[in-house]
Amino acid sequence: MLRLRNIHKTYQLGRTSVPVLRGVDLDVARGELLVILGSSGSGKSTLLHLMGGLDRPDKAQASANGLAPSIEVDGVQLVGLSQRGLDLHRSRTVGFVFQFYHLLPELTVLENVMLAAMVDGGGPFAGDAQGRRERAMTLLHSVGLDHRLHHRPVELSGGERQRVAIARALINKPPVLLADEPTGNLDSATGAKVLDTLLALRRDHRQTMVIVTHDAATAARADRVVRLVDGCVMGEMGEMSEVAAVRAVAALPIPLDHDHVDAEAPAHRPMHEPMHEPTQSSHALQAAPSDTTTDATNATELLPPPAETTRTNGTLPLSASQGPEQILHAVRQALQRTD
Amino acid sequence: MFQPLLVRRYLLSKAMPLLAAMAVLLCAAMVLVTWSVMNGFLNKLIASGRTTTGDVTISFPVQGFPHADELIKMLEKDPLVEAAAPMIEGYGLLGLPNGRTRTVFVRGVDGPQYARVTSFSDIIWWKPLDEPMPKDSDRADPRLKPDLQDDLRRYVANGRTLTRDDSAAVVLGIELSGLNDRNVAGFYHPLRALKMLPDGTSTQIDVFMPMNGEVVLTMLRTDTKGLSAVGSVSRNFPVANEFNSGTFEIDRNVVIARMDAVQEMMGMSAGKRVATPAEVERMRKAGTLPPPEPTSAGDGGESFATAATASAPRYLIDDPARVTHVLVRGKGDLGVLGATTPLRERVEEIYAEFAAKHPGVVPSGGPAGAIDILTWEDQNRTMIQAVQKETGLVLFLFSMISLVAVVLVLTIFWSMIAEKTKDIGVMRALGASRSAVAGTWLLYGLAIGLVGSTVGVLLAYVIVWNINAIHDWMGATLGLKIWDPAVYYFTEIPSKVDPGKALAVFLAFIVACVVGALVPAVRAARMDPVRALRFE
Repeated sequence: MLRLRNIHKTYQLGRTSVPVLRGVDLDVARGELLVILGSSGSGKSTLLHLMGGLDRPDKAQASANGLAPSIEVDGVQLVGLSQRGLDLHRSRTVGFVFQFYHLLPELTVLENVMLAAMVDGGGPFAGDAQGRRERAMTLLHSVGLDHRLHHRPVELSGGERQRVAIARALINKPPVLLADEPTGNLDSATGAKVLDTLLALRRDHRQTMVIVTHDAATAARADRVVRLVDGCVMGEMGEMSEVAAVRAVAALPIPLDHDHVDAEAPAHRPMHEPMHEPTQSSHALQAAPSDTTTDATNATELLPPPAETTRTNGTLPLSASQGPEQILHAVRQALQRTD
Repeated sequence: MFQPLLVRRYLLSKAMPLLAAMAVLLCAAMVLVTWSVMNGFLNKLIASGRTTTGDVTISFPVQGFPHADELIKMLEKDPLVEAAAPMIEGYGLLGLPNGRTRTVFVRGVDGPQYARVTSFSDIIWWKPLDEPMPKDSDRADPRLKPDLQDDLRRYVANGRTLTRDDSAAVVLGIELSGLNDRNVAGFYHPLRALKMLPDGTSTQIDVFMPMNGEVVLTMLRTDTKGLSAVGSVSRNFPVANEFNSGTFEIDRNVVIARMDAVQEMMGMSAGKRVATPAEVERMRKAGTLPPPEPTSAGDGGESFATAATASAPRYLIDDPARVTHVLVRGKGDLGVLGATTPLRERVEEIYAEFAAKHPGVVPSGGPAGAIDILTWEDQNRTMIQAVQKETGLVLFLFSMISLVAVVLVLTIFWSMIAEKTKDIGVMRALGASRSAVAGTWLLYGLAIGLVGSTVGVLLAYVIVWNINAIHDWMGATLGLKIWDPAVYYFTEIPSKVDPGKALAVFLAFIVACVVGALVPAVRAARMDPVRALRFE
């Protein structure tokens, strides 16, 4: 369904070139739910934007290995596609769910959902006002917001806004859903409910879905998890338990400087870790066979002894003796600080 | 199409677009009001040019020319001509009942015939009124008084025939005597005049011009060649009525008198005169030479005799009545610039035919002829062109000012696009093309232009329709008098909006708004969606 090869992306900031993706190869099967784990600045959002046709990868001659990039989504090669082709790809093939919802404040809930179906050349309801309205209302009913149809986003809670965004992503019945930290801006209870909603709808519609996150709870729901470190897919894991996911998250490199760090601001991206020398923890994860079903025990075993895993001065104070909840809490706190 | 939905929501949820629309509406209203007043001024000028002179004027000033009746018959036979009338024009002095004397422009006309060519019947002021004038809410116009209606009817008849009590009378411009006070509602009240006495004191006189007003008209009499004055003639005239042409210059300076009286005063009525040598020779050849007059019989003043011919016999011949002008009214509406040209060409042909019948007696016609044949447009060309140029200049200046509206729209849109960067990113992420994003902002500009232009044009209509009331109010409350009739030619500010011009302003400002939105729209379209989505 999705096939990415030789994906490089470098941002040019003034005279400085900042590489964000460094040769990503990735496959996502039809109907699969893939979670891409990555710390802030690892390039996971950039990767999602490339899959969604919002951005273009570097050309072959600009990339490190000189190989031609390829992004194939539902049989369509996005590299080299015209701007209009990419527009159609975004309106027909993919649905986006963003961390910060990105609802238009002037529109009502219903209008926000219908907006995606009103784009010219868009999905099945582009020219069908009645069908569009019915579809939007059905989706809003599915996400439990049929009593909020004519409210403005500002009148909704964070969870409700994200549910509106989910309905909007689904209105054109896209075969691929791309979610960028869909629960990242919600508290854990609300995030869990939103994730339930998202996954249930995705299951009903049998869509392929890619979620980028650094949330262990989300990772634990995936069919498969890959880890993105400094612009490279550094570890590939199959389905994992929540504990394993927590530990995988815990093993993500944490930026030393706690400024806001993400792909959109590559200048602030942490460059303290050598790109080709994985950290201890990533070494440990890399050692795990990608087709191995990890559980809490395995994950614990994969982690270095407590003395070594305790990271200071910008690292997380984690210990293998800590329970999953404690680890998760520590991870979330650290991530909130970095965000 | 998501653009109309977004534009509707943006329009109603933000103050900035409404401010932009307000700027547009003020500019549109300003341009349309200015254009309408200037254009109304031009139209009034055009209309006034025809009010008292008709469409085409044949003139040979001071000296005049004979056989006007024959020319008028020839003219009225032509299908392009509605009517023609004779007129004598000259300068004079007018002694008023309050002892003041004014220089005036005298027009001697045959009332009923003059009314066929001009709007004379309509401009007679003292006449019965059934309904008050639009601004006369108190019905204070004396012409509405029931007990005056019979008298007013008599004054109208007097005015049309230029007769009062069986005597030749005059009709004065309403502003001429200074004995009428104009109300802000536009009507006149007769004033109680003070008459200066020789001993330096004054006495109050009770004069209502059409009832008991009398004036003394003094005119210069010239010889038959119009080369020198042979004396002045004064005559008392009762005032039959007054007229209001709407043109201050005419209403302040023109006296319309009965033609036979003016003709007589200026020595232009039928009589005998000394034949010129050429006429003598022609009569000799034709065998129609009358017996010569004794040489001592002449009065000298009106003779064509020169020193060389003083001893030659003089032959008196019939001297038909002369007029200085023949006024022509064309068929149909010729009150549009350029519309009178075919009529003038036809009148020139007819006059040439007429002149050919009376060689040496009437001024020659044709391109090099001595006669002046001018349309109302030709006569007012200087003023019309001045107003046209002034209108163009004012429009140009206001259009420049209106560019501010375009820049304002551009600025507001520029900042709105910065504010809406994330929305633009969302629309792009949902699949909206660059052109669709640009189209949203252009449609937004169009909507602001539509709102601003519509309200602006409506506001202009309200202002122009009530401009005289607004002006009067400003005068009454703020002491401002912008429109001085003495300076601006007309007594009322023109108050009509030309729908064509309103449409032009309406469309121009819509286009201006779209142009103002163009640059920000292109900026929006070119935004990188990823950066737009991450915009804080």
